[in-house]
Amino acid sequence: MNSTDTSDKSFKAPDLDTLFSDQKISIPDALDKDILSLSKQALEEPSHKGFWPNHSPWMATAAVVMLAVLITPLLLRAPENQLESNVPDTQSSASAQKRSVFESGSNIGLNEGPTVKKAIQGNTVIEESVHPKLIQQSATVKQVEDTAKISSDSLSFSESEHLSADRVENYPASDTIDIAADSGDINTEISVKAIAPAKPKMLSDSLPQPAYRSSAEQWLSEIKTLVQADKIQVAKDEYNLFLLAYPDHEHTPQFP
Amino acid sequence: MLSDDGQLMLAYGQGDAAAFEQLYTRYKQPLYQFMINSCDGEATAKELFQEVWVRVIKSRVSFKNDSPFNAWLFRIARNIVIDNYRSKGRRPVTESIDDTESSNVAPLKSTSLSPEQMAVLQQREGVLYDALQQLPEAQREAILLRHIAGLNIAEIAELLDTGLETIKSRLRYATSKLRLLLEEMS
Repeated sequence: MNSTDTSDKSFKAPDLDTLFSDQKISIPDALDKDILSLSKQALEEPSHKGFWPNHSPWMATAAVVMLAVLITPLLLRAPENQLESNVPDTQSSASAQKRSVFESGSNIGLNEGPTVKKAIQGNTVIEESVHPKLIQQSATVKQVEDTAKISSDSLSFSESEHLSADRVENYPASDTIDIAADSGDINTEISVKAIAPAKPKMLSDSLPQPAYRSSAEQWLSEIKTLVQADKIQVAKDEYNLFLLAYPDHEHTPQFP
Repeated sequence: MLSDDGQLMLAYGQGDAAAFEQLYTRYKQPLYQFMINSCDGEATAKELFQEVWVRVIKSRVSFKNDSPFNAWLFRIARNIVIDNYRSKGRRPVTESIDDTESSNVAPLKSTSLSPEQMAVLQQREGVLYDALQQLPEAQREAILLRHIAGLNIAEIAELLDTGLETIKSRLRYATSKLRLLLEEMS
């Protein structure tokens, strides 16, 4: 038993306790209300009001400077990191977007958005600059497609700013696409047919091109010959390729 | 509902107004009684009573629940009483010389008051206050902390920053003298 317990027991005074508990002391109601009101008012004040006035404005200034020093480098790095981390996602999402557009074969206008416009402009540039090559390639691929039935699942397009014309060539479409392109004052509508997914450039380079495709008249003549030979489907395919090369040609052959 | 006083104070520090109300309801009566018996006038007691609660309110964020709330509350109260003594040029309790030596009343006996004496004293309003005012300040302080604040010997010793034996001595003398005074009054 420690001394504290002993002393507590020895200092019991029930008679005095009774007198103290009976002491008639009442607290004024106004005092109660004032104190309770003060306690509630204190809670309505900002929680750190008692702290900052003792240290401001130096503490506040120091805190702001510290935050600025710590956060600014992070903010400056953030866009780079974000761009780097987003590149694959952008490419994949763009690929998916492009795939859906190409699979649906819908018309794409240049006014559909800056990213789409950029990609289409890339196609347009290709169309204008490597136009014969693209046609040659498409025709070749069509022939290969008939025999090899190449899958179109490997289709992939990128709308990244780093996308180059060569890269566009290497990311072929699988189905028909109609592109309404407004390039300056030239209105062109291009129907691209089935660019093969795998190594089209090599195949097209290795296969000879028909001589009749060297001029529009000879090409149309060849199409007419195919119609007369009752090779209607082949003639239609040839005409589709013809339209790629000469989209503004007004002559339309008669198909039965 | 929180039962622990310290938890209530912490809850109030976190914005729970009801917690403070609960604490206030629990301690307003003993604290006010302590102030009435410690001060020389009801007006001063009211003023100091309010000042204690204002300090409690201000301390709501910094309060640490590492000691009994009642000891913490009455420590604030005692400090305010001492400050009030100092502001009026009176000698504070802490500076009083040893009351056991200065007291003219020796702790001869400490028998409880008889039921008859108690009945008479309970009917006479203010007799306890008058008797307490005749005690030396240090003894009065010790007996108020013991019987009103409900602190044990160790808590009183810690609060007053005094040794256990000194507190025991003060309480012995205070109890004996108070009983003697009350017997005379009855």
